[in-house]
Amino acid sequence: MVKKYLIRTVLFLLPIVIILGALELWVRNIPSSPDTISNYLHTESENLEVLVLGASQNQAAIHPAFMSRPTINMASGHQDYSEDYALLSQLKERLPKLNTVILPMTFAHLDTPPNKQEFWKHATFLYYYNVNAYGRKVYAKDRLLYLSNPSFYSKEILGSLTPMNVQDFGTYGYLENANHSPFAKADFNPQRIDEFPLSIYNRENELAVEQNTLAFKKILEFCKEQKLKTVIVLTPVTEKHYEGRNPNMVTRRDAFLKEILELYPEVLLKDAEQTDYPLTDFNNHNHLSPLGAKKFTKELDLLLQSPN
Amino acid sequence: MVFNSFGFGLFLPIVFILYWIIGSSRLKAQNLLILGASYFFYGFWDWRFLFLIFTSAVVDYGAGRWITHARNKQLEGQEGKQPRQVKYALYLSLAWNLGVLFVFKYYNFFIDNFKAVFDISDTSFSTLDVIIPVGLSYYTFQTISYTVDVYQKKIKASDNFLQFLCFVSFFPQLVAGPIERAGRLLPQFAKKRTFETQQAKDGLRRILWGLFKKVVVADNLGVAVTAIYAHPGDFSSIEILYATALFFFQLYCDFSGYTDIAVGTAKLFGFKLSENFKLPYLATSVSSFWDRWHISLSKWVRDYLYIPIVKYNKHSRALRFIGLIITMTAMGLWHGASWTFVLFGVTQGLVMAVELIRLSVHGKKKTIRQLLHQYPFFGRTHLYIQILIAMIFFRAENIQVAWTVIQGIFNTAQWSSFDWIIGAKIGVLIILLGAEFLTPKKLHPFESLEQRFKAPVRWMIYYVFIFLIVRYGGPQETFIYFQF
Repeated sequence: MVKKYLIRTVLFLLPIVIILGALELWVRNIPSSPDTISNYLHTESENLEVLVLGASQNQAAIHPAFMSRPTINMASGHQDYSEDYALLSQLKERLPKLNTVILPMTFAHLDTPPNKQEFWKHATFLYYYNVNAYGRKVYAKDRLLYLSNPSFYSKEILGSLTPMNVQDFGTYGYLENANHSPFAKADFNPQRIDEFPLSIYNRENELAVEQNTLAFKKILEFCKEQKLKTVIVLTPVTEKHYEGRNPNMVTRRDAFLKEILELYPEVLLKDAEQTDYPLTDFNNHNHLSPLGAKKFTKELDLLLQSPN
Repeated sequence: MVFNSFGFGLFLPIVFILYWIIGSSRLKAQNLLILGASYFFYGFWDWRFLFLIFTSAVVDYGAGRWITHARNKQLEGQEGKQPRQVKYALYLSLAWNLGVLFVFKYYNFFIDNFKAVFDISDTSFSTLDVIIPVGLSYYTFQTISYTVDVYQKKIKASDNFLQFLCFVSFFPQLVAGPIERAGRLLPQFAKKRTFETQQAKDGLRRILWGLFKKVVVADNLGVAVTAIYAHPGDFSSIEILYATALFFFQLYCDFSGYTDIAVGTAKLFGFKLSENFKLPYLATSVSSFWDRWHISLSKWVRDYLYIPIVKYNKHSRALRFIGLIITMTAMGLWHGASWTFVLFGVTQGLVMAVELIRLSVHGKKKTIRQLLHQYPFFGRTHLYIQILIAMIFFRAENIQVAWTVIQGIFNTAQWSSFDWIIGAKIGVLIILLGAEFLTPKKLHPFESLEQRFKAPVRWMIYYVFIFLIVRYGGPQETFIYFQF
């Protein structure tokens, strides 16, 4: 009786296991930024000298192809300072020639609440970079991409069915094709762009500031200990975005930056928040397009080449 | 290990297969497997607390044996009078269980408030750096009830240590109940369990329904609730009330979903656990709500706290009022060492006391509870208002947050900050309520599928629910009631 019951249960569950297995394989084979970065990390780890961390602004603004030294850009959407620290501290040993770390600080960076331990990137970082970004116990589910975030990966799978959606991440995991960006879709027409509602994170959050400043200082301490050159970048934004920033958050961020530069005089600052970049250099109000990234990366590279 | 984890998905079939390979003829071996599996299940979270659960079992088993031994030794001439050792055994059990609860759960709260009241900054009264063991309040209440029942001669003390260890640590109900009585669960470890296909099938269906409630409904509603409760000052009164109402359903689905999985899992092994929920949102008063919500705890506090308080003068209305307030305050505190839970309990107790008041209607005297039952529209309106108030205290991290939320209910913020994606979360609730309304007399909506549909249709329905669980499940792997 038990045997019959078990056989029926297994027969019932078999299609589910097969489908989930197939979905997992599918997800792992979709070209993605972390996948490309992981391959690049694997092949170039012995030579890499510059590590770019941060959220989507840094991901879009710095293209390793335009850096004169071997660079890896591991910034990703909504990546917080704790995750940056985890990546840096856990990758350091695998990058023997690493000497420079690039960190972001948008005006909203300090006020954005850090991600929770359940954040779906846990699985991504574990699978692609072998980094436990949240310092928590690793569950079996964390080892599976699809099950770690079925909602996100279902959309990825659906997207991969349309050849038009297949994206080109080149060698460095940088999204080369920005034809689908909001500004590109508006043909970079200033009038049409001006009609876009300004999506800007202006919510003040003292607790987040406390957590983020601590995490940021932890990164700087680590860099100091490991004798790594640190560059803080304030990536370019459009004029509209610049004007729309919450002044309290800007003042607090600037005060913190001042404190940091006094405490760590060896840290470099690349402040390009207010620029004359044309609209064609942007994907949206606070993210550069590949064109803008080329320009900005070259400027950054010059700064890194300077004697100080 | 938690029920909605991948680990449990591997653990359960392995234990199930081993259990039935051993077979019902080898009861001791089956019990040993249950004990081993339960300790593995609990130790997977934190093995250090296995010592605590084992010691609790030893103390209460010992207390039960001591009571029996003392009674057996009783001289004929003293028949009817409890020997002194019997009381000592009871006190020992109570001291241990309540002591453990106090140290792990209430000591820090007590010290913090003691220092605040007497304005003490002395570091000699320091708080303890301890975590609350998962399921502590459940298994200590279960073991307390065992010793009290033995003391009150409702049950005989167990003389089988292995069965008693299984009773204390049975993994399906170990970390979040139902809080079982020894008279009901303990004998199940002593009798032969035979495999029944129908029961096992129903167990799996119940697990599926529980997972749907937890993973799809509770976790998705939780996203909306958290978004609004994180910044209550930014939202309008309607939005805050909406989030508070959703929180009630989140809590209901989280906890009753856990119970469904627990009951279903126990069924796979031939055990029957108590029901913990009976469509609580259909109650017509706060008193009847507690007959339908977390029933095993409600019955526990009724039998071991309320009745002992009121039994000295059954006709004293004042004593019943006081008894209710004390009982419900204790029930609030059971949920956690925080003033929000105290207020939650006190308000519930006060309302229940008011519902006991008798009014004269058409010449007949009826309690407010009876009247509310007679007029269900008013009853439910009254209940939902009380639930909303209670949920604010239950959800808020502290009194300040609760106060901000209450203020928010009366603010005039516009709807502009409302995210309709959050609003759309209510869609999952409609599936749940629809299924429960269609099967009000069933223990779970899948129970009636066998009579209504043939196997291929049933399988399709199960596949749809599995799809929903996989596709729309949140990333969380925890249950709200674990913290209690």
